[in-house]
Amino acid sequence: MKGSAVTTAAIVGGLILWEALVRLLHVPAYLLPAPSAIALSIWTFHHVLAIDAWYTTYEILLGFALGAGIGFALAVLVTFSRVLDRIVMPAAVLTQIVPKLAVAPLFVVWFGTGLAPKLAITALMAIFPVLLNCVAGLVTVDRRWRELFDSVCASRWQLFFKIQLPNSSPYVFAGLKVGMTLAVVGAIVGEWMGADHGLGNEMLIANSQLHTDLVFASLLVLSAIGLVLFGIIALIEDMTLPKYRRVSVVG
Amino acid sequence: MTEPAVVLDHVAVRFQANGSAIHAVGDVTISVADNEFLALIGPSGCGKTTLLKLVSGLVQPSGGAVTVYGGTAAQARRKRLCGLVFQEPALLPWRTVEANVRLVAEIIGRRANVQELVELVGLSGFERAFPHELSGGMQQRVGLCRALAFDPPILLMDEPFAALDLLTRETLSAELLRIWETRRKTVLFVTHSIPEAVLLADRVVVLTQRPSRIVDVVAVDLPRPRSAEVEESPAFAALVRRVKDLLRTTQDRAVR
Repeated sequence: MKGSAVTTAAIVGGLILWEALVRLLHVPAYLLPAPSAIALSIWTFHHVLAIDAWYTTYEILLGFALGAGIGFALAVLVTFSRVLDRIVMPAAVLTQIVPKLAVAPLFVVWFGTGLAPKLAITALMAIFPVLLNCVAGLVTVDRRWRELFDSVCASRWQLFFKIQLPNSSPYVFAGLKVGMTLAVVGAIVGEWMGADHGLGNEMLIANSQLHTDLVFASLLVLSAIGLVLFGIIALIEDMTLPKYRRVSVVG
Repeated sequence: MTEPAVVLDHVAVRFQANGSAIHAVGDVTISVADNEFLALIGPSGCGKTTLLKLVSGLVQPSGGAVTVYGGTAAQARRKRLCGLVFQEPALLPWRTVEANVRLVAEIIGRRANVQELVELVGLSGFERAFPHELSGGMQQRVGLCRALAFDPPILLMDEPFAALDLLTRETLSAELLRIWETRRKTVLFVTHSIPEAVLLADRVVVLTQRPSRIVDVVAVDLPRPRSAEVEESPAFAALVRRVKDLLRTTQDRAVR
């Protein structure tokens, strides 16, 4: 049996076991719904879930783009200026130490309950891994490359565009992948702080009504969105970056 | 008499590394003629690399003066007079052979005849290959091409063949000889291999342990053009022995 077949079999087996246990032990639906109940819930509420998924995806993507953009821009600034390095990096670590989920309520105070606080939290979640990985990629310059460039008086920009930028691409992708998974968390937390739409909002309402099958359904849709968005980045990486240049993730 | 390519006049180098003062170069005086092939040999860590960096302007002397074609090393750097070849070629993994060869020429806005160079070092057909697809010897050829591509009058080669196996090493030094015969350049060639130094160079400079000083300069009066066959001659063996004896004195001195 192939590896992927084993995985599929394990998943199917697990679902069957879950279904059987719930039915045999008469587990109440508000504690743990059976997979069939979750599937039915997705079918029944697919209109609502689709609208929620649209809102949440929108928040994730916009927040992620904002966070990744800021993270990359900061990384470039940091590599060009020692002074900024001494300011930005400690500040980044500091914001990382403060639990971001705990500051989420503040964002509601500052930005209200519209799109803005969701984007702020999502972006904040995504910035750090992107910044950290981009800096790692941009400053990792082989000593001999630097010497080669110095020996012919290459400009700072030439070093950046011919060495630092292309050299950083595997690190950038690593950072984007981590950033994307965190952006999903950010968007949901943002919605929990108060929202009219979105999967996080849906989960909160369903949970309060002990509508557990809908909570699971929302969770499933959310996971699917996260997986697809992660997959898109992985796909772009696959198409643009040769295998021998992969690096492991930082942060 | 024509002007010498490189003059080191009582050059000394001291620098700080990890909090401790390193006296890399003691007092070195040597004049390298235009189009001369000069080999530098000495115990490991004796500051040979630092000597090359003095010429390329990457290191400033703490004492003495460095003159490159009548100007300072900084001026030479601005005029892009030095091509660098490293022990590990340090190619850019995301660039093809062609693009790697073109790199330095591209930086300084000079056109490079990539095709001709690639043919010169026997890499035809590999223009579109990436460095990881090449053997160590082939990568080093690309490194050499990269330095030749902008046609600098001086080549600074820092143990360029040290990381290669013996056979590849011999092939490449034979090729370097051939290339140097056709397109004359002033070469400063750091090596650990005595036969390699004697085979290639016009003169072999033997250096002491750090802080490096010149023990002696051995003139290699073997006829040119040379090939690997010259290694069979008694004159070659005598020169190798002489350099080896000189090197041995540096070891003794280090022990004392």
